[in-house]
Amino acid sequence: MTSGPIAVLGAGGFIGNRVVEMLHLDGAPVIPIVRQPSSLVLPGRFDLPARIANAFDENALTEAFAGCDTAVIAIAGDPRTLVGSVTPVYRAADSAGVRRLVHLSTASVHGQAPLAGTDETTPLSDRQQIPYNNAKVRAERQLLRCGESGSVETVLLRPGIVYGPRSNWTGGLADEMLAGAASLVEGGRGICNGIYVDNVVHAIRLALTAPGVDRQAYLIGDAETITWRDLYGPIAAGLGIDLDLLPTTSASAVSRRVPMVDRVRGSAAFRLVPAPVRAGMKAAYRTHRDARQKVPSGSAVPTVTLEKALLHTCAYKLPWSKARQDLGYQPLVSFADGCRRSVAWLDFAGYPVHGGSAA
Amino acid sequence: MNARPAPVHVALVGCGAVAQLYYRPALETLEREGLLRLTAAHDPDPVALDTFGDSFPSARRLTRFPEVLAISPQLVIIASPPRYHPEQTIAALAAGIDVHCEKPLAPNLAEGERMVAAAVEAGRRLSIGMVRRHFASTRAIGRLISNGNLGPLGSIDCFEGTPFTWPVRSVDFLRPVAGAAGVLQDIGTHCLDLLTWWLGSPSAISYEDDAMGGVEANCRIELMFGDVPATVRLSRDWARPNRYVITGRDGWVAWTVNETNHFDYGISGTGYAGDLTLHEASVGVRRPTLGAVAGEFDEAFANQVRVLVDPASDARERVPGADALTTLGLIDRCYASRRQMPMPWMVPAWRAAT
Repeated sequence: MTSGPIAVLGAGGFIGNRVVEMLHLDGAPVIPIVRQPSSLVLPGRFDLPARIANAFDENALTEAFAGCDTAVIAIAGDPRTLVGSVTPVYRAADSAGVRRLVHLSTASVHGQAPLAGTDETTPLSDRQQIPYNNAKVRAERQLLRCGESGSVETVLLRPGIVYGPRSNWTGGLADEMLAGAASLVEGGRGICNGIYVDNVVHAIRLALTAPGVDRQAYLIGDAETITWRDLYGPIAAGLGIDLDLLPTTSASAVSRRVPMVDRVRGSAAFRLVPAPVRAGMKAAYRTHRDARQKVPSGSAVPTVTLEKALLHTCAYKLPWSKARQDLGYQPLVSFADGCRRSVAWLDFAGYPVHGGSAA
Repeated sequence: MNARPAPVHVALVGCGAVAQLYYRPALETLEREGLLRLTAAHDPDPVALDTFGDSFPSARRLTRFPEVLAISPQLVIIASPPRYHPEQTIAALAAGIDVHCEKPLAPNLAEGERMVAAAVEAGRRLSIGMVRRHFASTRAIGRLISNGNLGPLGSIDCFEGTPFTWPVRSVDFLRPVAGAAGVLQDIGTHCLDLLTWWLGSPSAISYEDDAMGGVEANCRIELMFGDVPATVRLSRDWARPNRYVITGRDGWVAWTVNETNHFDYGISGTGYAGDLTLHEASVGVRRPTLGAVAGEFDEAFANQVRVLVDPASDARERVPGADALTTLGLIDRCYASRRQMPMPWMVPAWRAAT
């Protein structure tokens, strides 16, 4: 491990909390940092020296980072927060003498449905249709700019769909299923670039100490190639829901949620969508546009967001070979085990899991 | 014609979140009605004091607690962090002042008993802020149970929780130091008070939570009320439907937490259930009829203080401090018998792999 305490900024969030849990349970000195006292609910289950700092407040962050050797940046929030917090966080880390920042980015910097062959060398666009992607791209760029003039090393990790306890891809999906609001796009046959949360933390742990990785970005994922249907399956089974009864919509339904379809068609993000999917989306939009005229008022029409349509029609498994080579990353938790752990957590959290305590 | 009584002079101690969010509007309402006058507010934090005090221009702003006692209000509302409740309450009672204390009454049963004894000794009233006892829904459910409308009870299942967003000012609230309040002490105080109010003291209790050297965010309590099993699951971690379901031979009720005037009621043998909205019962010319819909949360909250300052109110609606002792005792028993909640996903993968 590192030679001094590890700060975890954003320790109240889903991934930040798991970083605290795993590193602390492993005996590492961890300092959770959160924006407000109420965010200490989960880190507060341990007796840890928690600190409070707003991610825009350089002075407060400098105090919070004091004495820390490394820091994990797991800030969640809106695009303004994601981008605007980068500089104060970096400067504060620099002032406090932090040696390395491990910054949690996302595979979504490559879009929700990356082109075949995409890897860390693929140029990024900050003119994608999904604001979150653009914010994460800009945050990465900003961090690298900060690194040009500062002394703190930076390592960027790009996980895909992070599932597991307290993930919206687990609990949120269960909520949707129980509410009858879950659906698959194109049968969920697209590739889900999933990663169990413990594998993310494992990569973070490696990135804190690996030599010669300053200013490098790493895609990380599970070992297995899975589909969205595979991700939904264990949750549905746990809740006693027949996956085959979930509605499956065509990617065409996305058009209802796109306020200016022409802008989408002309956007850089749309051009990054694989050509077959792009053609399908165009055709489907036309079909949907015509169908809308015929749908009686009040009838439910399955709709999906652009993000979901892109995710569920992804045709490419992002590689993590660079992480394996530089960080020694190898997923520790298999997809099957990650799903078992996720369903166990659903039971703990009070979902009606078959055979569970709340059933 | 009787002259209207003079407004009761009230002081508020502790200007944190509960004061700002709930006591402030309640006191403003009761001041407008001429039932009380807030003569002073106290908090050691001048910012919190000014924030609260701005709503009550005529109230004195006091940063030292003894100054509150020196101005001799008729009623003191203790809304400070729970660790200060015993000391401040006992001092006020000894000074001859009635006290309304926000829940939990005390950090533990022994302190609560000291407070109740101090009230008896001083001959003053000590009441406790259990707002849920002022809901039309909880009163109606309690009456359905006690009247036997549900028949012999078979099971009770309570789930209450949502991510914690209460604007606490100090990290100490969530650290294992004096002043910490885990989910059991926080939400559990409400839940256990309702259950014991409806059903009496449980005959058995077992408890587990997820604290690992710190303060619990999740807990599970199993209780027996006679031969009726009850499960209580509390969380500050993740949102699930906040529902209490009480099932009996002849019917069931399902109550969503903090619904003041509404619950679902199923009648066994009919195949029917209804969503029941409670109104004030009004007597028409020839037969009972529906009055206004029963009060919302703010009204219920204000009613806690109203019953202390309005001579026309029903004194039976006051919740005496002694009523909190049962719950404090249960919470002590829970912590004393605590077991770790099973969390099979918790072990770090690299450890599980070795």
